[in-house]
Amino acid sequence: MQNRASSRASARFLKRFSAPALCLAVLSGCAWAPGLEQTNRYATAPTSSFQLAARADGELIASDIADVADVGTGQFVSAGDPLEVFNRFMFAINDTLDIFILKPVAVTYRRWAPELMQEVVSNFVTHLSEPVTFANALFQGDWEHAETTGSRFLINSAIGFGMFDPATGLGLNHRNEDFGQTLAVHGVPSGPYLVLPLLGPSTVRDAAGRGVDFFLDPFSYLARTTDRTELSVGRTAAEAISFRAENIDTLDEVRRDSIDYYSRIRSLWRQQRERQIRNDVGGGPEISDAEPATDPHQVGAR
Amino acid sequence: MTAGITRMFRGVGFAFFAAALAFAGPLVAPAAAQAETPAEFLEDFSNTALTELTGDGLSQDEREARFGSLLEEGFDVPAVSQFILARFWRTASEQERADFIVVFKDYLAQRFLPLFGGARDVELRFGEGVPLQGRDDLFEVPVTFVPADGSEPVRTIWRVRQQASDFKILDVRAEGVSLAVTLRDEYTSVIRQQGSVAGLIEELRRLIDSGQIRPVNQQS
Repeated sequence: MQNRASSRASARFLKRFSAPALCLAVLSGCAWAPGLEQTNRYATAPTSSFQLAARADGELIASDIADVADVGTGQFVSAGDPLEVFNRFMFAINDTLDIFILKPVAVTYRRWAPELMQEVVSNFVTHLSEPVTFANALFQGDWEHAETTGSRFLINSAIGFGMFDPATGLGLNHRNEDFGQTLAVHGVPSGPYLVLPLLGPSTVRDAAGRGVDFFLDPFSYLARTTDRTELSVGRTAAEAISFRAENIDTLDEVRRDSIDYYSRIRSLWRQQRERQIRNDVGGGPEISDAEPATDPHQVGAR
Repeated sequence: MTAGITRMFRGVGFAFFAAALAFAGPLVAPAAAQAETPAEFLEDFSNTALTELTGDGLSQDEREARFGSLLEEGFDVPAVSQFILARFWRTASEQERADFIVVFKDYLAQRFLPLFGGARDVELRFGEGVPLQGRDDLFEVPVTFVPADGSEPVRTIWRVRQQASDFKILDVRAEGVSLAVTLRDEYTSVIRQQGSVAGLIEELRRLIDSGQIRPVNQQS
Protein backbone atom coordinates (compact mmCIF):
# COMPACT_ATOMS: atom_id res chain seq x y z
CA MET A 1 0.00 0.00 0.00
CA GLN A 2 2.85 2.30 0.80
CA ASN A 3 4.44 1.71 -2.56
CA ARG A 4 1.27 2.52 -4.38
CA ALA A 5 0.90 5.62 -2.33
CA SER A 6 4.46 6.58 -3.20
CA SER A 7 3.81 6.06 -6.89
CA ARG A 8 0.80 8.25 -6.74
CA ALA A 9 2.86 10.80 -4.93
CA SER A 10 5.17 11.29 -7.83
CA ALA A 11 2.42 11.27 -10.38
CA ARG A 12 0.58 13.94 -8.52
CA PHE A 13 3.35 15.95 -7.12
CA LEU A 14 3.52 18.33 -10.01
CA LYS A 15 -0.23 18.51 -10.25
CA ARG A 16 -0.60 19.41 -6.66
CA PHE A 17 2.26 21.73 -6.13
CA SER A 18 0.06 24.58 -5.20
CA ALA A 19 -1.53 22.79 -2.30
CA PRO A 20 -1.35 24.92 0.73
CA ALA A 21 0.29 23.42 3.76
CA LEU A 22 3.25 23.89 5.81
CA CYS A 23 4.55 20.96 4.07
CA LEU A 24 6.13 23.14 1.61
CA ALA A 25 5.72 22.38 -1.88
CA VAL A 26 9.27 21.80 -2.12
CA LEU A 27 10.10 18.72 -3.73
CA SER A 28 11.21 19.36 -7.19
CA GLY A 29 13.08 21.83 -9.18
CA CYS A 30 13.39 24.50 -11.72
CA ALA A 31 16.39 25.04 -13.87
CA TRP A 32 16.88 25.76 -17.43
CA ALA A 33 17.07 22.82 -19.73
CA PRO A 34 17.12 22.45 -23.50
CA GLY A 35 13.91 21.20 -24.95
CA LEU A 36 11.54 22.74 -22.47
CA GLU A 37 8.05 23.32 -23.63
CA GLN A 38 8.05 26.62 -25.44
CA THR A 39 4.76 27.67 -23.97
CA ASN A 40 5.97 30.88 -22.51
CA ARG A 41 8.83 33.17 -23.26
CA TYR A 42 10.75 32.22 -20.17
CA ALA A 43 11.56 28.84 -21.55
CA THR A 44 14.50 30.38 -23.37
CA ALA A 45 15.26 33.34 -21.15
CA PRO A 46 18.05 33.86 -18.80
CA THR A 47 21.08 31.79 -19.60
CA SER A 48 23.13 34.67 -20.89
CA SER A 49 22.15 36.91 -18.00
CA PHE A 50 23.25 34.27 -15.61
CA GLN A 51 26.60 33.83 -17.26
CA LEU A 52 27.23 37.55 -16.98
CA ALA A 53 26.29 37.48 -13.33
CA ALA A 54 28.54 34.52 -12.76
CA ARG A 55 31.49 36.14 -14.45
CA ALA A 56 30.97 39.37 -12.55
CA ASP A 57 31.23 37.31 -9.41
CA GLY A 58 34.47 35.82 -10.60
CA GLU A 59 32.95 32.37 -10.75
CA LEU A 60 33.44 31.20 -14.27
CA ILE A 61 32.95 27.69 -13.11
CA ALA A 62 29.37 28.45 -12.13
CA SER A 63 28.24 28.91 -15.71
CA ASP A 64 29.58 25.49 -16.59
CA ILE A 65 27.77 23.69 -13.83
CA ALA A 66 24.41 25.35 -13.66
CA ASP A 67 22.64 28.26 -15.23
CA VAL A 68 19.72 28.50 -12.92
CA ALA A 69 18.53 32.05 -12.85
CA ASP A 70 15.53 33.92 -11.57
CA VAL A 71 13.27 34.54 -14.52
CA GLY A 72 12.53 38.08 -13.50
CA THR A 73 15.97 39.35 -12.62
CA GLY A 74 18.43 37.00 -14.28
CA GLN A 75 20.19 36.69 -10.95
CA PHE A 76 21.29 33.38 -9.55
CA VAL A 77 18.32 31.79 -7.82
CA SER A 78 20.14 31.43 -4.57
CA ALA A 79 20.86 35.14 -4.46
CA GLY A 80 19.78 36.51 -1.14
CA ASP A 81 17.16 36.06 1.50
CA PRO A 82 16.78 39.53 3.01
CA LEU A 83 13.89 38.41 5.21
CA GLU A 84 15.78 35.39 6.53
CA VAL A 85 15.30 36.13 10.23
CA PHE A 86 11.54 36.44 9.84
CA ASN A 87 11.44 33.51 7.44
CA ARG A 88 13.33 31.19 9.76
CA PHE A 89 11.01 32.14 12.61
CA MET A 90 7.94 31.43 10.51
CA PHE A 91 9.48 28.25 9.14
CA ALA A 92 10.07 27.01 12.68
CA ILE A 93 6.44 27.63 13.59
CA ASN A 94 5.20 25.91 10.45
CA ASP A 95 7.56 23.02 11.02
CA THR A 96 6.35 22.61 14.59
CA LEU A 97 2.74 22.56 13.44
CA ASP A 98 3.70 20.05 10.79
CA ILE A 99 5.40 17.75 13.27
CA PHE A 100 2.64 17.84 15.86
CA ILE A 101 -0.48 18.14 13.74
CA LEU A 102 -0.26 17.81 9.99
CA LYS A 103 2.16 14.94 9.66
CA PRO A 104 0.43 12.70 12.24
CA VAL A 105 -2.89 13.34 10.53
CA ALA A 106 -1.34 12.63 7.13
CA VAL A 107 0.30 9.42 8.33
CA THR A 108 -3.00 8.25 9.78
CA TYR A 109 -4.80 9.18 6.59
CA ARG A 110 -2.35 7.32 4.39
CA ARG A 111 -2.43 4.27 6.59
CA TRP A 112 -6.13 3.94 7.23
CA ALA A 113 -8.06 5.72 4.49
CA PRO A 114 -8.95 3.40 1.59
CA GLU A 115 -6.78 3.98 -1.45
CA LEU A 116 -9.80 4.74 -3.57
CA MET A 117 -10.79 7.45 -1.14
CA GLN A 118 -7.29 8.96 -1.21
CA GLU A 119 -7.42 8.93 -4.99
CA VAL A 120 -10.83 10.58 -5.06
CA VAL A 121 -9.81 13.28 -2.59
CA SER A 122 -6.67 14.02 -4.57
CA ASN A 123 -8.59 14.18 -7.85
CA PHE A 124 -11.29 16.34 -6.35
CA VAL A 125 -9.01 19.04 -4.93
CA THR A 126 -7.13 19.10 -8.24
CA HIS A 127 -10.44 19.43 -10.06
CA LEU A 128 -11.41 22.42 -7.94
CA SER A 129 -8.18 24.16 -8.93
CA GLU A 130 -8.80 23.88 -12.68
CA PRO A 131 -10.80 27.12 -13.08
CA VAL A 132 -7.95 29.17 -11.58
CA THR A 133 -5.46 27.40 -13.83
CA PHE A 134 -7.73 28.06 -16.82
CA ALA A 135 -7.94 31.78 -16.06
CA ASN A 136 -4.20 32.12 -15.55
CA ALA A 137 -3.41 30.21 -18.73
CA LEU A 138 -5.55 32.78 -20.54
CA PHE A 139 -3.80 35.67 -18.75
CA GLN A 140 -0.47 34.25 -19.89
CA GLY A 141 -1.65 33.96 -23.48
CA ASP A 142 -1.20 30.20 -23.32
CA TRP A 143 -4.26 29.29 -25.35
CA GLU A 144 -3.25 25.69 -25.77
CA HIS A 145 -3.05 25.05 -22.06
CA ALA A 146 -6.26 26.98 -21.46
CA GLU A 147 -7.98 24.69 -23.93
CA THR A 148 -6.47 21.60 -22.29
CA THR A 149 -7.53 22.77 -18.84
CA GLY A 150 -11.02 23.71 -20.00
CA SER A 151 -11.43 20.31 -21.65
CA ARG A 152 -10.14 18.59 -18.52
CA PHE A 153 -12.66 20.39 -16.38
CA LEU A 154 -15.58 19.57 -18.63
CA ILE A 155 -14.64 15.91 -19.11
CA ASN A 156 -13.83 15.29 -15.46
CA SER A 157 -17.04 17.06 -14.40
CA ALA A 158 -19.26 15.18 -16.83
CA ILE A 159 -17.69 11.73 -16.73
CA GLY A 160 -15.65 11.74 -13.55
CA PHE A 161 -18.03 13.84 -11.42
CA GLY A 162 -14.93 15.70 -10.27
CA MET A 163 -13.83 12.64 -8.33
CA PHE A 164 -12.11 10.71 -11.10
CA ASP A 165 -9.69 11.84 -13.75
CA PRO A 166 -10.52 10.29 -17.11
CA ALA A 167 -9.08 13.37 -18.85
CA THR A 168 -5.49 12.41 -18.05
CA GLY A 169 -6.08 9.07 -19.73
CA LEU A 170 -7.09 11.01 -22.83
CA GLY A 171 -3.78 12.87 -22.86
CA LEU A 172 -5.11 16.02 -21.19
CA ASN A 173 -2.57 16.45 -18.43
CA HIS A 174 -2.97 18.78 -15.50
CA ARG A 175 -0.37 21.50 -15.08
CA ASN A 176 -1.00 24.07 -12.41
CA GLU A 177 -0.95 27.75 -13.27
CA ASP A 178 -1.46 30.53 -10.73
CA PHE A 179 -1.36 34.29 -10.70
CA GLY A 180 2.17 34.34 -9.32
CA GLN A 181 3.27 32.53 -12.45
CA THR A 182 1.23 34.90 -14.56
CA LEU A 183 3.02 37.88 -13.00
CA ALA A 184 6.38 36.20 -13.63
CA VAL A 185 5.53 35.55 -17.26
CA HIS A 186 4.75 39.25 -17.62
CA GLY A 187 8.12 40.20 -16.19
CA VAL A 188 7.37 40.90 -12.53
CA PRO A 189 10.41 39.96 -10.44
CA SER A 190 9.90 37.53 -7.60
CA GLY A 191 10.91 39.85 -4.79
CA PRO A 192 12.32 38.43 -1.58
CA TYR A 193 11.76 34.85 -0.55
CA LEU A 194 8.95 34.74 2.00
CA VAL A 195 7.74 31.99 4.31
CA LEU A 196 4.01 32.44 4.87
CA PRO A 197 2.24 31.35 8.04
CA LEU A 198 0.74 27.89 7.42
CA LEU A 199 1.17 28.18 3.67
CA GLY A 200 4.94 27.76 3.62
CA PRO A 201 7.51 28.93 1.04
CA SER A 202 6.61 31.75 -1.30
CA THR A 203 7.87 35.09 -2.53
CA VAL A 204 6.38 38.56 -2.32
CA ARG A 205 5.17 38.20 -5.91
CA ASP A 206 3.66 34.78 -5.34
CA ALA A 207 2.02 35.81 -2.09
CA ALA A 208 0.29 38.65 -3.94
CA GLY A 209 -0.66 36.16 -6.63
CA ARG A 210 -2.34 33.96 -4.05
CA GLY A 211 -4.60 36.84 -3.10
CA VAL A 212 -5.67 37.32 -6.71
CA ASP A 213 -6.23 33.59 -7.15
CA PHE A 214 -8.53 33.62 -4.15
CA PHE A 215 -10.80 36.08 -5.93
CA LEU A 216 -10.52 34.22 -9.23
CA ASP A 217 -11.62 30.97 -7.66
CA PRO A 218 -15.33 30.23 -8.16
CA PHE A 219 -15.29 27.82 -5.22
CA SER A 220 -14.07 30.56 -2.90
CA TYR A 221 -16.71 32.87 -4.35
CA LEU A 222 -19.40 30.27 -3.70
CA ALA A 223 -18.24 29.81 -0.12
CA ARG A 224 -18.20 33.58 0.45
CA THR A 225 -21.55 34.36 -1.09
CA THR A 226 -23.32 31.53 0.71
CA ASP A 227 -21.51 32.39 3.92
CA ARG A 228 -20.26 28.82 4.28
CA THR A 229 -16.69 29.20 5.35
CA GLU A 230 -16.62 25.53 6.32
CA LEU A 231 -16.43 24.76 2.59
CA SER A 232 -13.21 26.68 2.22
CA VAL A 233 -11.78 25.29 5.43
CA GLY A 234 -12.66 21.73 4.42
CA ARG A 235 -11.13 22.12 1.01
CA THR A 236 -7.93 23.61 2.38
CA ALA A 237 -7.65 20.84 4.96
CA ALA A 238 -8.22 18.17 2.30
CA GLU A 239 -5.56 19.72 0.08
CA ALA A 240 -3.06 19.94 2.90
CA ILE A 241 -3.59 16.42 4.23
CA SER A 242 -3.68 14.83 0.81
CA PHE A 243 -0.51 16.60 -0.30
CA ARG A 244 1.30 15.88 2.94
CA ALA A 245 0.30 12.22 2.84
CA GLU A 246 1.74 11.89 -0.64
CA ASN A 247 5.09 13.32 0.42
CA ILE A 248 5.73 11.82 3.83
CA ASP A 249 8.72 9.73 2.81
CA THR A 250 10.24 12.42 0.64
CA LEU A 251 10.12 15.11 3.28
CA ASP A 252 11.49 12.73 5.89
CA GLU A 253 14.39 12.05 3.61
CA VAL A 254 15.04 15.72 2.94
CA ARG A 255 15.10 16.39 6.66
CA ARG A 256 17.48 13.52 7.39
CA ASP A 257 19.84 14.52 4.62
CA SER A 258 20.10 18.21 5.49
CA ILE A 259 22.48 20.11 7.69
CA ASP A 260 20.24 23.13 7.44
CA TYR A 261 16.67 22.01 6.71
CA TYR A 262 15.46 25.56 6.13
CA SER A 263 18.08 26.25 3.47
CA ARG A 264 17.55 22.92 1.76
CA ILE A 265 13.80 23.52 1.55
CA ARG A 266 14.35 27.08 0.32
CA SER A 267 16.63 25.88 -2.47
CA LEU A 268 14.33 23.08 -3.53
CA TRP A 269 11.31 25.35 -3.51
CA ARG A 270 13.04 28.03 -5.55
CA GLN A 271 14.24 25.56 -8.13
CA GLN A 272 10.80 24.03 -8.32
CA ARG A 273 9.10 27.36 -8.65
CA GLU A 274 11.34 28.46 -11.49
CA ARG A 275 10.64 25.20 -13.21
CA GLN A 276 6.91 25.68 -12.79
CA ILE A 277 7.06 29.12 -14.30
CA ARG A 278 8.93 27.76 -17.28
CA ASN A 279 6.33 25.03 -17.69
CA ASP A 280 9.08 22.47 -17.48
CA VAL A 281 7.01 19.41 -16.75
CA GLY A 282 9.76 16.83 -16.71
CA GLY A 283 13.41 16.31 -15.96
CA GLY A 284 14.36 16.13 -19.62
CA PRO A 285 13.12 14.68 -22.85
CA GLU A 286 11.46 11.31 -22.79
CA ILE A 287 13.74 8.71 -24.33
CA SER A 288 12.09 5.70 -25.82
CA ASP A 289 13.90 2.46 -26.37
CA ALA A 290 13.68 3.07 -30.11
CA GLU A 291 16.66 3.92 -32.29
CA PRO A 292 18.51 6.87 -30.77
CA ALA A 293 18.49 10.13 -32.66
CA THR A 294 21.60 10.86 -34.66
CA ASP A 295 21.27 14.61 -34.48
CA PRO A 296 22.08 15.65 -30.92
CA HIS A 297 19.61 18.49 -31.14
CA GLN A 298 16.74 16.18 -31.96
CA VAL A 299 16.83 14.58 -28.56
CA GLY A 300 16.79 17.84 -26.75
CA ALA A 301 13.80 19.15 -28.64
CA ARG A 302 10.36 17.92 -27.86
CA MET B 1 15.88 -2.76 -1.48
CA THR B 2 13.80 -2.48 -4.62
CA ALA B 3 11.16 -0.72 -2.62
CA GLY B 4 13.81 1.63 -1.32
CA ILE B 5 15.01 2.41 -4.80
CA THR B 6 11.48 2.93 -5.97
CA ARG B 7 10.90 5.39 -3.21
CA MET B 8 14.09 7.16 -4.14
CA PHE B 9 12.61 7.69 -7.55
CA ARG B 10 9.77 9.59 -6.03
CA GLY B 11 10.26 13.17 -5.08
CA VAL B 12 13.27 15.19 -4.34
CA GLY B 13 15.56 12.27 -3.98
CA PHE B 14 15.55 11.83 -7.76
CA ALA B 15 18.54 14.02 -8.35
CA PHE B 16 20.45 12.39 -5.61
CA PHE B 17 19.67 8.93 -6.88
CA ALA B 18 20.63 9.85 -10.41
CA ALA B 19 23.82 11.23 -9.01
CA ALA B 20 24.45 7.95 -7.31
CA LEU B 21 24.42 6.14 -10.59
CA ALA B 22 26.47 8.88 -12.13
CA PHE B 23 29.01 8.71 -9.38
CA ALA B 24 29.22 5.08 -10.03
CA GLY B 25 31.01 5.82 -13.07
CA PRO B 26 33.12 5.21 -15.99
CA LEU B 27 36.48 4.95 -15.10
CA VAL B 28 38.01 1.80 -15.78
CA ALA B 29 37.06 1.70 -19.40
CA PRO B 30 40.15 0.50 -21.24
CA ALA B 31 41.89 3.12 -23.34
CA ALA B 32 41.03 1.35 -26.57
CA ALA B 33 37.33 1.68 -25.78
CA GLN B 34 37.49 5.29 -24.67
CA ALA B 35 34.14 7.03 -25.02
CA GLU B 36 33.92 9.48 -27.90
CA THR B 37 30.66 11.14 -26.97
CA PRO B 38 29.26 12.22 -23.60
CA ALA B 39 26.42 9.73 -23.94
CA GLU B 40 28.85 6.89 -24.53
CA PHE B 41 30.85 8.06 -21.58
CA LEU B 42 27.82 7.99 -19.29
CA GLU B 43 26.75 4.61 -20.55
CA ASP B 44 30.21 3.14 -19.95
CA PHE B 45 30.26 4.92 -16.64
CA SER B 46 27.03 3.47 -15.33
CA ASN B 47 27.79 -0.01 -16.65
CA THR B 48 31.13 0.00 -14.93
CA ALA B 49 29.58 1.27 -11.76
CA LEU B 50 26.99 -1.44 -11.64
CA THR B 51 29.60 -4.09 -12.34
CA GLU B 52 32.07 -2.73 -9.83
CA LEU B 53 29.71 -1.97 -6.99
CA THR B 54 27.08 -4.66 -7.09
CA GLY B 55 29.31 -7.72 -7.25
CA ASP B 56 28.60 -10.46 -4.77
CA GLY B 57 31.02 -11.06 -1.97
CA LEU B 58 32.30 -7.50 -1.77
CA SER B 59 32.97 -6.24 1.70
CA GLN B 60 31.70 -2.82 2.71
CA ASP B 61 35.27 -1.50 2.81
CA GLU B 62 35.96 -2.76 -0.70
CA ARG B 63 32.78 -1.20 -2.01
CA GLU B 64 33.63 2.11 -0.40
CA ALA B 65 37.14 2.02 -1.84
CA ARG B 66 35.82 1.28 -5.33
CA PHE B 67 33.17 3.96 -5.02
CA GLY B 68 35.85 6.46 -4.04
CA SER B 69 37.97 5.73 -7.08
CA LEU B 70 34.97 5.75 -9.39
CA LEU B 71 33.94 9.08 -7.99
CA GLU B 72 37.41 10.47 -8.48
CA GLU B 73 37.65 9.38 -12.08
CA GLY B 74 34.11 10.06 -13.28
CA PHE B 75 33.29 13.24 -11.48
CA ASP B 76 35.07 16.55 -11.51
CA VAL B 77 35.04 16.65 -7.73
CA PRO B 78 37.27 19.74 -7.36
CA ALA B 79 35.13 21.73 -9.80
CA VAL B 80 31.91 20.64 -8.11
CA SER B 81 33.39 21.45 -4.70
CA GLN B 82 34.39 24.88 -5.95
CA PHE B 83 30.90 25.45 -7.28
CA ILE B 84 29.27 24.32 -4.06
CA LEU B 85 31.41 26.53 -1.84
CA ALA B 86 30.83 29.46 -4.23
CA ARG B 87 32.58 32.63 -3.12
CA PHE B 88 33.81 30.94 0.05
CA TRP B 89 36.11 28.80 -2.07
CA ARG B 90 38.26 31.83 -2.75
CA THR B 91 38.67 32.73 0.89
CA ALA B 92 39.14 29.15 2.11
CA SER B 93 42.66 28.02 2.93
CA GLU B 94 44.28 25.22 0.94
CA GLN B 95 43.78 22.96 3.94
CA GLU B 96 40.07 23.80 4.19
CA ARG B 97 39.59 23.13 0.48
CA ALA B 98 41.30 19.77 0.74
CA ASP B 99 39.35 18.89 3.90
CA PHE B 100 36.08 19.82 2.27
CA ILE B 101 36.76 17.60 -0.73
CA VAL B 102 37.52 14.69 1.59
CA VAL B 103 34.41 15.13 3.71
CA PHE B 104 32.27 15.75 0.65
CA LYS B 105 33.38 12.45 -0.85
CA ASP B 106 32.62 10.71 2.44
CA TYR B 107 29.17 12.25 2.39
CA LEU B 108 28.55 11.04 -1.14
CA ALA B 109 29.77 7.55 -0.29
CA GLN B 110 27.48 7.22 2.71
CA ARG B 111 24.56 8.79 0.92
CA PHE B 112 24.73 6.93 -2.34
CA LEU B 113 26.64 3.72 -2.05
CA PRO B 114 23.81 1.82 -0.33
CA LEU B 115 21.55 2.57 -3.27
CA PHE B 116 23.51 0.39 -5.62
CA GLY B 117 22.20 -2.78 -4.09
CA GLY B 118 18.98 -2.41 -6.06
CA ALA B 119 20.32 -0.59 -9.06
CA ARG B 120 20.12 -3.66 -11.27
CA ASP B 121 16.35 -3.32 -11.20
CA VAL B 122 16.57 -0.15 -13.24
CA GLU B 123 17.09 0.21 -16.99
CA LEU B 124 18.92 3.32 -18.16
CA ARG B 125 18.21 4.86 -21.56
CA PHE B 126 20.67 7.41 -22.85
CA GLY B 127 19.92 10.27 -25.23
CA GLU B 128 22.51 12.14 -27.24
CA GLY B 129 24.45 14.95 -25.59
CA VAL B 130 23.29 18.47 -26.39
CA PRO B 131 26.10 21.06 -26.62
CA LEU B 132 25.61 24.03 -24.29
CA GLN B 133 26.36 27.71 -24.65
CA GLY B 134 27.68 27.24 -28.20
CA ARG B 135 30.61 25.24 -26.89
CA ASP B 136 31.97 21.92 -28.02
CA ASP B 137 33.20 20.75 -24.63
CA LEU B 138 30.10 21.18 -22.45
CA PHE B 139 27.06 18.95 -22.83
CA GLU B 140 23.80 17.95 -21.24
CA VAL B 141 22.86 14.33 -21.67
CA PRO B 142 19.29 13.19 -21.04
CA VAL B 143 19.01 9.86 -19.30
CA THR B 144 15.75 8.10 -18.51
CA PHE B 145 15.59 5.65 -15.63
CA VAL B 146 13.03 2.94 -16.26
CA PRO B 147 12.23 0.84 -13.18
CA ALA B 148 11.73 -2.86 -13.88
CA ASP B 149 8.59 -2.91 -11.76
CA GLY B 150 6.73 -0.87 -14.37
CA SER B 151 6.43 2.27 -12.29
CA GLU B 152 6.80 5.68 -13.85
CA PRO B 153 10.13 6.40 -15.64
CA VAL B 154 12.25 9.21 -14.28
CA ARG B 155 13.89 11.65 -16.67
CA THR B 156 17.18 13.21 -15.69
CA ILE B 157 19.78 15.44 -17.26
CA TRP B 158 23.49 14.99 -16.63
CA ARG B 159 25.89 17.82 -17.32
CA VAL B 160 29.22 16.65 -18.64
CA ARG B 161 32.39 18.53 -19.60
CA GLN B 162 35.10 17.24 -21.89
CA GLN B 163 38.64 17.71 -20.70
CA ALA B 164 41.28 16.63 -23.21
CA SER B 165 40.11 13.17 -24.27
CA ASP B 166 38.23 12.62 -21.06
CA PHE B 167 34.73 13.44 -19.84
CA LYS B 168 33.79 14.47 -16.34
CA ILE B 169 30.37 14.85 -14.75
CA LEU B 170 29.58 18.26 -13.28
CA ASP B 171 25.98 17.98 -12.18
CA VAL B 172 22.85 15.87 -12.28
CA ARG B 173 19.31 17.18 -12.48
CA ALA B 174 16.22 15.10 -11.92
CA GLU B 175 12.69 16.39 -11.90
CA GLY B 176 14.32 19.78 -12.23
CA VAL B 177 16.37 19.59 -9.05
CA SER B 178 20.06 20.21 -9.51
CA LEU B 179 22.24 18.34 -7.06
CA ALA B 180 25.01 20.94 -7.24
CA VAL B 181 22.70 23.95 -6.88
CA THR B 182 20.85 22.38 -3.96
CA LEU B 183 24.03 21.62 -2.04
CA ARG B 184 25.51 25.00 -2.91
CA ASP B 185 22.48 26.85 -1.55
CA GLU B 186 22.48 24.87 1.66
CA TYR B 187 26.20 24.73 2.31
CA THR B 188 26.84 28.42 1.72
CA SER B 189 24.07 29.16 4.17
CA VAL B 190 25.73 26.90 6.73
CA ILE B 191 29.08 28.62 6.14
CA ARG B 192 27.47 31.98 6.81
CA GLN B 193 26.03 30.69 10.06
CA GLN B 194 29.18 28.92 11.17
CA GLY B 195 31.49 31.69 10.07
CA SER B 196 33.90 29.55 8.10
CA VAL B 197 34.33 26.63 5.75
CA ALA B 198 35.82 24.75 8.69
CA GLY B 199 32.43 25.09 10.41
CA LEU B 200 30.69 23.52 7.43
CA ILE B 201 33.21 20.68 7.38
CA GLU B 202 32.57 20.06 11.06
CA GLU B 203 28.80 19.97 10.52
CA LEU B 204 29.13 17.64 7.56
CA ARG B 205 31.38 15.33 9.54
CA ARG B 206 28.84 15.29 12.36
CA LEU B 207 26.06 14.39 9.91
CA ILE B 208 28.13 11.59 8.41
CA ASP B 209 29.13 10.20 11.81
CA SER B 210 25.49 10.13 12.91
CA GLY B 211 24.73 7.70 10.07
CA GLN B 212 21.37 9.33 9.48
CA ILE B 213 21.95 10.11 5.82
CA ARG B 214 22.01 6.48 4.83
CA PRO B 215 18.71 5.37 3.31
CA VAL B 216 16.38 4.26 6.10
CA ASN B 217 16.64 0.55 5.38
CA GLN B 218 20.43 0.76 5.42
CA GLN B 219 20.76 2.35 8.81
CA SER B 220 22.17 0.18 11.54
